[in-house]
Formats: sequence, C-alpha cells, structure tokens
Amino acid sequence: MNLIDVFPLTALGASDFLNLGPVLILTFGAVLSILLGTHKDKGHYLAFGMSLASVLAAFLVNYAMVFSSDVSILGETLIFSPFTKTLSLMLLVFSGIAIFLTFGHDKKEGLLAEIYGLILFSVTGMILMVSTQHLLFMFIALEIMSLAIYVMVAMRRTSRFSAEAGLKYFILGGLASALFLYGSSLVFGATGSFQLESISYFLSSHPNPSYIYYVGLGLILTAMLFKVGAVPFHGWVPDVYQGASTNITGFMGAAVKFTAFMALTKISQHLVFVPQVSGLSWFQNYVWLIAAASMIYGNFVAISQNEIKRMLSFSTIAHTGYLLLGLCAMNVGETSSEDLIIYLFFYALSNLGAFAVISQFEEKNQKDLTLDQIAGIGLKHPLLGAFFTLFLLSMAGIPLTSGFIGKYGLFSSAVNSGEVPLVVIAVLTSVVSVYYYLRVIIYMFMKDSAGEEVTFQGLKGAGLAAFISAVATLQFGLFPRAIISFVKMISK
Amino acid sequence: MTNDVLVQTLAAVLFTIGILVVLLRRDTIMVLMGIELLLNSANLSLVAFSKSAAMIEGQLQVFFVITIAAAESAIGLSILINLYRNFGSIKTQNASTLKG
Repeated sequence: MNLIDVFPLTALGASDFLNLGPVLILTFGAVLSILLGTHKDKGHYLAFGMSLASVLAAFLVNYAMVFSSDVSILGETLIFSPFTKTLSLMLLVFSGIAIFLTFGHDKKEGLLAEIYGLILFSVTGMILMVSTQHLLFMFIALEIMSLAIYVMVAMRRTSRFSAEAGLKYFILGGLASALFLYGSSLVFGATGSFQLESISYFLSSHPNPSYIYYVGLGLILTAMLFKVGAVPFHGWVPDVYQGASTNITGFMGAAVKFTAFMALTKISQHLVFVPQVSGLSWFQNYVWLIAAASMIYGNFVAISQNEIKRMLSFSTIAHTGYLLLGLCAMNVGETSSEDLIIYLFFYALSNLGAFAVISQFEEKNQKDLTLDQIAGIGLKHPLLGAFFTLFLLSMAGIPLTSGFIGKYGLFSSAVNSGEVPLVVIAVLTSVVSVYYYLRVIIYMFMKDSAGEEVTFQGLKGAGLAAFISAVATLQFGLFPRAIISFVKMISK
Repeated sequence: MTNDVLVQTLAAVLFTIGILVVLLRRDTIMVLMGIELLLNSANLSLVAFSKSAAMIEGQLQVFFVITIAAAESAIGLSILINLYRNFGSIKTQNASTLKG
C-alpha cells in the first residue's frame, strides 16, 4: 500500500487559502517581527508595529470570511465554520490588546523584542486549537501555544521569580502535554479514530468500550483540567501569575484560558457527554466535583491574600469553577456552549484590563503589588482607579458591567437545565468573592497610603489597553443584546 | 500474551517510570529526561496501536511528536540556564521563592 493511496494529496483551493489566511499571516508576521526586533535601536518599535499590523490583517481577513461557507482541510482535520472563525476573532482581539499592553512594559522589564513574535506564535496555536476536531492535531496546536508561553513566562531574565515560574510552568505543562498525548493514543486504541466526531459516533453504537478508553479519557481530561487551572491541578496558577511579567499574565489569563476551555468543551461534548455509554457517568460526576471544589477553594483562599496578582490568580481558579458549572449544565440540559463563550469573552476582557492597570504601578522585577501599596492610588489617579474598579466589579458580577451579563446567562441556563445544587454553590461563593474584590476598591479610594508609595509608570500602551477593555466592559454591560444574539446565531 | 499486549505493557511501564521521574527527582535535568521518556512511551504506544489497527495515522503522528519533543527540550534547557543564572543551582528545591 502506497502512502499516496492512504493520504491522497489534494491541492488547496482559493477558499481554503482564504480561510487559512489568518494563520498564515500570523506565522509570517511572527517570523518577520522577530527578524525586525534585532534592529539595534528601533527593534522594539519595529517588532511592535509588525506584530500589530499582522494581528490587524489577520483580524480583517478573518472578519471578511466569517459567514463564508464551511471549509474542511486535510480530511476534516481543520474545520473553519462561522463558529470557529468567531472564536478566532475573539482570540485576535485579546492578542491585539495584549500587544498594546506589552508596548512600553517590555522596555521597563527588560523583555527582549522577541516577545511580540512569541505572542503571534501562541495566537497561531490557539486559532488552530479552536479550529480542529482531531485529537493529535489538538496536541500539536496545544504545544505551539504552550511552547511560546513557557518562554514568555520566563522572559524577565534578571528576575528570580520569573525563572522559578517558568520552570514550574514548563515542568507541569510538559507533564500535562504528555498525559494528553498518551491519553489520545489509548483512546485511539480503544475506538480506532482520532476524530472527535467519529469517536462519539463509535461510542453511541458501542455502549461498552474497553477499559482502555476510560483510562485514556481520564488522562486527556486531567491534562485539559490542568491547562484551565481547575482545583486539584491548580498548583501552578498562583506562582505563574506572580512570577510572569504582568502583561504576559494578563494575556495568559485571557487567551490561554479561553482556548483551553474551548478545547475542554469540545472534548467533553464528544467524549464524555455521550448518553448511551453508562460508564461515563463516573466522569460526569468527576467534572461536577471539580467544578464545586474550584469555586469553593478559589474564592475562600483569595480572601486571605494581600497581594493583588495572587488574589486575582485565586479568583481565576474560582472563575474556572463557574465555567465548569456551565460545562456540567451542557451535559444535563443539552444546551450549546454559547453561554460559556460569552462568559469567557467578557471575563477575558476585564482580566486583560485589570492587569493593564496593575502594570502601570509596578517597578522593574517587582513580584507583586500589596494592598498597602495601592492604598490611596484611586484618589491620585482617578481614571485608572475607576477603570480598576470597573474591572473588579465586572469579575464580581455586579450589574451594569459585562461580568454580570456573562454570569447571569451562565447561571440561568444552568438552572434551566436542572443543575440546581451546583448553581446554589456558585451563587453563594460569588457572594464571598464580592468581599475580596470590594476590599481592593476600599483600599484604593478610602485608605490613606501607609508610607509605601508606588510610582506611576505612565505607560501609554498599557493605558490604551486598559481604556479599550474598560469601554468594552461597559459597552457589553449596558448593551449586551447584539453580541449575545450574534454568538447564539453562530453556535446554532 | 500477544505481541500487541506486550508492547502496550512496555509503553505503560515506561510511562509510569517517566511520571515517577518527573514527580520524584529533584534534579531538573532528570525531570527533563522524564518528560522525554513520557513523550517517547506515548510514541511507542501510538505506533503499536496503529500497527494492530492497520491504520497509518498514528505512525505518521510520531514524526510530529519527535519534532515537538526536540523543541520542548530546547526550551526546557534554556529555562534551566536562566534558572542557574538566577539561583546558582538547578535543583528544584532551591527555586521556591513564590509562596503564600
């Protein structure tokens, strides 16, 4: 048997190329911006301009193609539908904001100009990750994304915290990727396919798969729960959030979480939520338990934190719990993933904005801002204080911000699909979360600074990033109908 | 036991050894080798499954995984050099400044 018989070489047509356009533009843009970054004086400016231009070009190509007909490349390996293209658009928005956030911050922290190229590479991996239905291609996309992120985390080269965070993230991330690979190999052995849809089809006609399938699925789920930072696998989250440079932390909290959660949703939909297989109910209970544990642990540990970035890292674990609640509701109620997407999009924007504000007050190689250090800064810098307040209120889910809309949609659809006990836990723990979000606001506006002054860095890029996120947070909080109906339309 | 089962058992044993190395060893070079062992045991399992299922997909994938493993170890080693510059050692127990 010839190789060419197994894999007939099909030439890519014009529409295939147009759909692949964003990925190609980002890859070439990344290489070019790394090359331009070597320029002696203007390296950072050139790399910034190049990376921003390629994200913009990729966004425009993607935007123009959103409603074109579905295209599948390499025998259903990559699927470009309105749904996946909308997810890519959201990722490109996050990366655009992250590039602004990096500009200015890179000089302050001594980051090399390569950081712009690395952001583009990781976005390429993310776009491939949300567009594929193939387990092994998902592994490759996951690695394209993660390898760039490992380097970005360890990029503050003179900071001990950054070196340590990079090491921790690399070791645990490498372990998770290997678990994913071995898990998909076992699933392949049990079902004879790597395509999620064919596996799902196989399972519905074979309700008793061999035990190898369960082992493989357990490994895959563990790897994905690690990537989203759910509770038993959350150990790396606080350390990496503190150790990485603040712009990278914002990017990770937004884009990596978005991608990993979309992949987890896709895997759960096809491999876990198959009603014909009774053995899978154990896995469904497992996801349920992890959701409850993440919400309770994240919110209660965040209360005792005095450092802002560490507090936000525990709150992100809690947000993972809310999102897993949405995932459980999808199983029970057969709803689609639209509420998850809306919640993730809004959360990611507020998250990026919050880290943009934090980066305005950080010294070089500083580990974190403490509550005492930010006391009174809301009065000295009213605009930034107001932005930070807005982002924190949005994360807490207070009305008039986008966070409320996301949380309301998520919880109400979970109640409609009958996942009541978990929603009760979620609502109670989000009441707890209001305490630690409001505490930061009280320190900013109602306490006098206690000696430890922070200096305002005056970064224009981070200011712009905070402004964009604040406008989006308010806009989607006050007039959410357009984006909600758009997401509902494309997820049909 | 047939050959298939033997090879799969070998892959599983290698994978377990890899996990134990990653979790228990304190030397980061050994941890890197553990990650390589994990990826290669997964490769072995992929090849064996695609041989027994008479499908070529899994075997092709192994080439991609080998490439990725090379990139991953390059990045891992550069992170180690960075760690050594900052801490003067590559033992994991020294790098524990982030707590709370």
